[in-house]
Amino acid sequence: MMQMKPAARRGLVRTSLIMAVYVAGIFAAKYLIEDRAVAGPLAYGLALIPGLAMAAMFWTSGKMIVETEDEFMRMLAVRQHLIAAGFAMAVASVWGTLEMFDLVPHVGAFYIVMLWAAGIFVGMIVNRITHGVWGQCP
Amino acid sequence: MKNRLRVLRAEREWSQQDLAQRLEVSRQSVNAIETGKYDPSLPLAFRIADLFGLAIEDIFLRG
Repeated sequence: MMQMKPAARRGLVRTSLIMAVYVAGIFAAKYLIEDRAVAGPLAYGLALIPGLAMAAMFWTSGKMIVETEDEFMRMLAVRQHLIAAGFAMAVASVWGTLEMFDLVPHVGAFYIVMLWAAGIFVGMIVNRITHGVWGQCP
Repeated sequence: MKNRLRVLRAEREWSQQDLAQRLEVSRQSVNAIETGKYDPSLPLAFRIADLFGLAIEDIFLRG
């Protein structure tokens, strides 16, 4: 069985916990705000839970880079994240200008996270092509 | 940057994995350095030099 590096293992534990909070937060917010008509500050608080969980994903992603001891693998991870950020921003910018002129439908800002996640995989492919190694999957 | 890592490793009959373990880095790192796809940091270059008992400039070549 393949052994995980300590930084990757810690990253996996953090990601699992964050995803659990995210999923629980989404279900709680949907049920309480949409079905039970919870409103006011409590609704804001509930809706913030999944959003903050996603923000924590970015934190854990950065933390994993910092904790990666192998400098080559760390360099690959940094490249991967730069590519992911560039990919997400580029697509969001182009879509945003098209949307401004009503040429494409509105897409929620939340979906930039999805683009970023897709960009992480684009970064892995670029690393594989340029350096022969996929790198790490956060 | 060119280097003599592969030759030095072969002289000692070490695999990339052997060298990686001695340097406490991944095998992929050793491969990337040997093939010139990655230039190591100065601290790692010193570790490599110390391991082979050579100066950095005897392993990593200009140009």
